[in-house]
This record gives sequence, structure tokens and C-alpha cells, in this order.
Amino acid sequence: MSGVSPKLLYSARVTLAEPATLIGIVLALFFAYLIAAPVLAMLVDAVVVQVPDARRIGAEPGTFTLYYLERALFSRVADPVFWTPLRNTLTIAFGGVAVALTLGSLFAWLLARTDMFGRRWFASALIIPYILPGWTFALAWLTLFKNRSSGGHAGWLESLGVSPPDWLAYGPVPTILILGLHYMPFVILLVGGALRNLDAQLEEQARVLGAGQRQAALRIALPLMRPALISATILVFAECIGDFGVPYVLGLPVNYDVLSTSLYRAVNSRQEGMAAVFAAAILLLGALSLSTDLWLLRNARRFATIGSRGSIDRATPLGALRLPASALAGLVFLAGVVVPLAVLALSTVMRVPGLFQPANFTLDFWVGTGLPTMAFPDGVLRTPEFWDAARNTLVIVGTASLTAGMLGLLVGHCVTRTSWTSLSGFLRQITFLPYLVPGVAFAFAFLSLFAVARGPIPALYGTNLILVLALIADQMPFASRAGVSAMMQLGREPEEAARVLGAGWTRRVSRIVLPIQRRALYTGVLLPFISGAKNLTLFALLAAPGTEVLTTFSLRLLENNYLQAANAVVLVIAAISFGGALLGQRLLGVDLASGFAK
Amino acid sequence: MTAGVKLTGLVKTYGEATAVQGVDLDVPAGDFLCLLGPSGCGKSTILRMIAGLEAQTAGRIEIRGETVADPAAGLFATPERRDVGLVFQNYALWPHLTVARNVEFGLRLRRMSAAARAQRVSEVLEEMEIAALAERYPGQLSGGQQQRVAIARTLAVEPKVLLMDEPLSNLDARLRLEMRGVLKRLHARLGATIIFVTHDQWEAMTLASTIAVMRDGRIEQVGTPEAIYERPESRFVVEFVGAPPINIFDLAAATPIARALAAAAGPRVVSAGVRPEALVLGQPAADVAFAAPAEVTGVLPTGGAWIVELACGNDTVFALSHNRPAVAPGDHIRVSAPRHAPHLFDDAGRTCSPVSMSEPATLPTPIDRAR
Repeated sequence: MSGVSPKLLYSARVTLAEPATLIGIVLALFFAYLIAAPVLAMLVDAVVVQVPDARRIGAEPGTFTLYYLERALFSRVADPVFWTPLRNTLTIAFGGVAVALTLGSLFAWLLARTDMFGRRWFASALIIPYILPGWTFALAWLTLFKNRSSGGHAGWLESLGVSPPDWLAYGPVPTILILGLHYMPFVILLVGGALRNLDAQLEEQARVLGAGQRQAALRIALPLMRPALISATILVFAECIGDFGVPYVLGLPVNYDVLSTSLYRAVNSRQEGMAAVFAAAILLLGALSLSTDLWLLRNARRFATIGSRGSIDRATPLGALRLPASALAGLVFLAGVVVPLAVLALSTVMRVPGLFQPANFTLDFWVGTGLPTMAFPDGVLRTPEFWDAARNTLVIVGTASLTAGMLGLLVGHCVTRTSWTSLSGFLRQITFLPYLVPGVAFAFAFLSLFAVARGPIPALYGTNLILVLALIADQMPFASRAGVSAMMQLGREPEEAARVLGAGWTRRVSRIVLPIQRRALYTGVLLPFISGAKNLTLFALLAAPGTEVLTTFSLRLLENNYLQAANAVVLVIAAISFGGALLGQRLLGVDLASGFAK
Repeated sequence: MTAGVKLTGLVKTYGEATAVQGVDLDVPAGDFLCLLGPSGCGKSTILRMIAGLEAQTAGRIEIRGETVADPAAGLFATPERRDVGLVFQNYALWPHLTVARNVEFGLRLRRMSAAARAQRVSEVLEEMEIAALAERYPGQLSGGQQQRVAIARTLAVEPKVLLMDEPLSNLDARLRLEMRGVLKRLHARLGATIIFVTHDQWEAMTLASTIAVMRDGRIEQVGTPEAIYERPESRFVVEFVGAPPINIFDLAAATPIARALAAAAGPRVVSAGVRPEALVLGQPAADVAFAAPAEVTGVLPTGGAWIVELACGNDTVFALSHNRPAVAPGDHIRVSAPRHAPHLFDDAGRTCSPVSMSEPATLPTPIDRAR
């Protein structure tokens, strides 16, 4: 003990007695580097001279400059380069929210509170659009509505002799419809959950006091639902801003740019400075909307939780509207799941789109050889690139989701067990940060930090590792929240009981915590897996030719106008994420609905 | 010496808040000590510090003569190495393991052979009378059965010091009584040192060989159950122990009882307490502390006894009678207390010695507990 103060020795021993603190510190450093550092590096990129622009700006690379901000916000090209994409972004985001909210809250109410036909079936069926990749719908839309103004095969309608106008085929209208449909399940889950938790007695009390059904709904239920509605609105909004696939597929033919597609193109044309400005703008929008959410919720929650939960499930009889309501749900299911998948599936077995003649049907695009598509002469299933991409997808997404699930539980463990409140607060916040950063901005942030060697860390661009790391970081908000809530629910005692009996940290975690939490772990792994398998945004920016995954492979096919092959690959992706969801629900008992909040 | 626990100057603070402020306690080997106090008085914190699940801010903890934690010496042994048993309030059974596996866990850690483990598990389950439940999961057991498993799990490793954190508070009244019997027999057979935390005075009275009454992070009084009941050292102890609660009289008040008590008590005494069971209704005995007229305002049967509510001046007084009282609401009677029945307190709430009474001092005698 010579020299060391006993007090210090004591603190050290107390801290070391609970390894959660030590592990928490390591995790905090890891996430600071994985999450905070990329975002910072990206923001810095917007205000320092990038190598390709050094000559034009007339300054050394790496020095401070306002050139990019100036160019984006105030220069002659500011309008087409920045303000128009910003306007477009807001248009599709607000439009998407409107569609998702209208349909979503209607169905949330129908599913939670009425005697609609097929309630239970629709409760699962209407969630499927969210499980399928968003741009699946965009591709299906193109397959149907594509007109002569862009190259390649025409769409089915064109082949049938009807020429869809550009506004219907491309741009904001289909983008809004598709985003709305894709995020509708999100609203159903959030609002439906809140409706189910809402004490039906509150409305009944109003009815007893003489309020009509409409009045009870408007004056009592609606205000109480406000927190859920606000949350749903803002989360859908943030998702729409950061979405890349849908506006890219549908906007490209008519040069309808949004911030995320501008960012993608700026990256591809090596304009990192401008890309950083776009990313920062997206980040700002995302952070703004989510802090609005938190702020509004803080003011609303006060009265939202009063009163016990009415456990009696009372369904409002719809009467004559019962059939139309179910028909509407059926229609949305058709439009959101059946038609897009059927169109995609059919398109992959037709030589000429929209030509419904027996001779036109073929399996060549799946298993054939010697196809007319020049750079891609074999069917998808015969192409080695496809299998490489599929293997890459499984390896990368599998590794990332396994790691994210484990890390989430570990974060939960540290957050709930450490006696350092500041450490547990920091861990919660840092793992939540990616939620505030729309996907495309986060991908670019990763590129900013890891594209070049920094210090002892080599350049990671072009490796699988950068994809794995980016996916992990992207999934941490969900994984850590799942982990924290699982560990909170467990409480300290089971572990303490093991400690007192003499079990050290490893034994406690492996014999007590993990087995008890295995279901939470399945959820924490499966959801990132589903979400990662269909992820286009991150991969589009971060995948290099050597590390192609299914999503980027299909994007490349699409860019080459090999629509059948692209659609075939997308179908495989949809099958993987849908299969994963089904498998999880059936075999592992994972409650998917509980975890879809990102 | 088998085992004992000694706490010296134990302090625990959480930021600004102080949970435990300077506790000295010597628990001899083989003692059954109850830490008794209202919720939030720091009793569970002390237990967790002994187990090593919390680290004290200052002070020393010794178990079996060995210092296990002392900030001044830079010592802190982890809970894993303290070798104490701890039974949790909500049992903390591991839901993914069967009863037998739960009990076996600690034995595995001690590298016992499979045969010896099986032997020991069945012994302990037999002892707790739950052998038939060995292959069940905790979720399939009732609260009382879970409690027995929790105790069996702790006993399996034969700890010399056994800590229990309100282990009976989640059980219904009958089970609680039954488990008290079990614990008492267990203690007699094992001879282990037991420290038992509870806020239930009955539990403490019936189980403990020593009670430590706690208040606001301090120990108010340590003594045998009899001493705590008969010779309380403070108004807090006297008010906390006893049911129905003691009648307290503010001697500055102008009520008949207060005036009578004040006249007899010394100048330092500001309040006095008389237990309901010490009050005499009807004809006063020869040597009384006070005797006053009162009106019966209520007769409350509690099953085996009756609580009589009386109005005496502005005082509301409760008396406990174990025989059916021959009074009815509206009756005017006399209420009195024997000379040595009142507990007298100074302005700090400490008990004044009986010398404060104006009569010649006699040794305090056990209060006549109403028969």
C-alpha cells in the first residue's frame, strides 16, 4: 500500500468489484468512436477545404473554409443544388407523413376498437409493408408505370397502350404514396398500442355523462392519444427525410432531387464538401424533428398515464360499415403487399414487360443463360456475383446483428448495474444518437471518418468491416433500448444472489443473465437482421465493388436498366427479411410488433 | 468462535443524502439479531453493505474477526469472497433453473462432486420440506414455496453468517407465522449468526435474541426483545414497539392526565407514555401514577382482545383489555395507571430515569402486562 492513499485504493477496489463499470467505460469509448466521432468528422468536412477543391478555392486542403456552405446556401447555383432538394425533401416527408398518419391511425382504431371483419388477421397483415424493403414498392411501381421518357423496357401500362404521364410515373406523387404506405405500419403499431392502453372507461364515463360517440372520441380519446400521434408523426417524418432508396428509384428519371439523393451523387462524384453540407442539413432536420418530439412529449405525458388501464376489450360495433372497413383494409393490403410482390414476381418471368402471352413467359432471368442483357448474360441464380452478394449479405448483416444484440444487452447490463450515474447516462445517450441521424447522413458520416487512415486505424473503405460497424452503430438505438429495458425488468437481485453465493462476473453473465434474457437477445438480434438485410441507404454509400451486398447489387442492376434481374434480387431480399420475421415469430417467440420502433 | 459481525462507525452517503450515519454494532457469534425500523431508516443498506453489495463511505466491517471492508485501510472484499448467505425480500430465484438447480448453484461454485451435490441438495430440500418440488421451476411455485427455496439455496452452502432482508414480508399472515417457526428452529439447529431486517415489530419480537431499533440511519437502542419492550430508551422506541401504539401525553397540556403526571414527574420530563395494556379501567389500584375520570367513546373488538377508546378531557386514550370490558360507549368510568407504568421522556425524546419521579426511587419493574 506504500504511497497510495487508502481512500484511493478503496475507491479503486470498490469500482473493480463491479466489472460493469469497467466494461461500461470500454463501451463508452467504443461508441464514442463508432458513433460520435463519425458525425463530428462529417460536420468538420463541411467547413474545411477538401483535396479536389483546393485549387478552385485557393487554399490548402484541410484549412477552414465557408466555401461549401456559401455555395449551397447563397451562390448562383444554390437554388438547384440545395434549396430545391430541400423543398423536395420536405414535400415528400410531409406528404409521406400525411398518408401514413391518415391510413395508419384509421387502421389503428379499426384494429384496436371495432368489430371489423378479420381484425386479427389484418393486425399482422398490415404490418408486412414495413417488413419489406421500401424501394421494393418503388421498383414495382416503375415496373407498372414506367413510360417512354426513360430508357430500357417500358412499363406494363405502356405496353398495354396506355401512356402514364410523368407525374404519375415518377417524382413526388408515387414517392409520397409509397413512403406513406411503407411507414403506415409504424403508425398502426404506435397509435394502436396507445389505444389499447387507453382506459376505455374514460370514454365510457364521458358517454355516461351524456357525450355522443363523436364527442367522446374528439374531446376525450383524441387529446389522450396526442403523445402517440405526435411520436408517430415525427418518427415517420425523420425516416422519410433519411430515406434514400424510394426517391432515388422514382426521382432519377425526372431529375427529382431530394437531399439524400443529392448527397449520394455528391459522394459518387467526389464532392465531399458538398456532400457534408447535405448530410449536415439532413442531420439538422432529423435532430430538429426528434427534439420536437421529446419536447412535446415531455409536456404531454403528464396526463397521458393517469388512470388504470381498462382491461375489458370493448369493440365499437361498426354496423353497416363493417364490410366497407374490412374491404378498405383488404385494398390497402393488396396495394401494399400483394400487388407489388406479384408485379415484381411476374416481371422476372416476362421477356417483354406487360405482354401477357404464353411465349413471353420464361424463367431465363432466374436460371437461363445467354440473355440479351449484355453485361449480365446469365440468370440471377446462375450468376456468381449474386451468390457472392447473398453470402456477403448474410455474413455482414448476420455478424452485425449478432454483435448489436449482444452489445445491446451488455449496454443494458452496464447501464443498470454501474454505480456511476454519469456513465450510465452517457451510454444511453450515445447509443441513442444514431436515431437522431437519418440513415443516409449517418452513412456519409461513416465515410468521412473511415474512408481514410486516421492515426492507427487504417482506411476501412472497401472492407466488410466498415459495413458491419456502420450497421452495428445504426442498430444500437434499438438494441440498447431493448437491452436496457430487459435488464431493468430483470432487476439486480438475481445477479446479486449469484454474487453472494460466490459467482464472479463471467459466471453471472453466462449462467444467469444470458439464459434469463435469451428471448430479449433473440429480439435484439433478429430485428437488426431484418432491418439490415433490407437496408439500402447505408450500403449504397459504404459498399465498394469488392463488398457488394444484395441491396447494392440490385441497385447496380437497376442503374444498368436490367429491370428483371434487379426485381429478382429484390424479391430475394424481401424473402429473406420476411422469412426472418416469420421464423422469429414462430420459432423463437419474438414479439416483432414490440420492437419495430426502428 | 464460529462467526460474528462487527460494524464500527459505519457511514453511507449517496451524494447529499445520508442513509447510514455512524452505526456501531457488535453481533456475537450465534446471535439472531433483528434490525428493526421504519422504511427508509437504512436497515437494508446496512445488510447490503455487510454482504458487499454496497460500499460504505466510512467505517469498518468485520466478519468472523476479519476486516472485509474499511476505506481507511483501503480494504474492500467483493461479495463473492465474503462467504455470507443473503435471502432477498423477493427471493431472487433464477426463473430458468429448476428448484434443484437453484439450490445446487452455490455448490457447483465450490467445486463439489456431482454425488456430493445431489446428496446435499436433497438434504436441504428435505429440511425445508420441499423435496417434492425439486424439478419444478420457480414460476410454478407459490410464494411460501419460493421462500423455502430461497432459504434452501442459501443454506446449501452452509454460511456461517446469514443475512435476511425482510424475507417474510411478501407472505400472508399464516405463512409468515409458519416460516417464523421454521427460521427459529433453523437458527437453533445451525447456530449460525443471523442478521434479519424487518419493519414488523412482531416479527422482531418473536424471532430475535437481540433487537437493534433503527431510526434515520442511526441505531436508537440495542437490547433483548424484553428490554426493548420494557425498558425503551427513547420515545421513538416506545412508539415504534407495541400494538396498539402507546398513549403519549404532552405534560404541558391542561388535561387531567397530563396535570397528574406533570405533578409527579421531575422538571426535565416533557412528555410521558402509557401503554394501552397498562391502563386500568374502573376501580384504581392503591399505588397509581394517575387516576382520572373518562368517558367511553368506543369499544373495538379485535378478536381475542378489546380496544377501549376513552375521552379524558381533551385526550383520546386507548386501553387494551384481554377480557370483555364491562363498559359501553357513553359510560363514565375512571382510568388509571400503576405508579411505574408511565415512560417519561425529556425534551430530546430520551427516556428519563425513574428517579425523575418525585416518589422515592425503586428499580423499574416489568410493567404489568394486562392479562
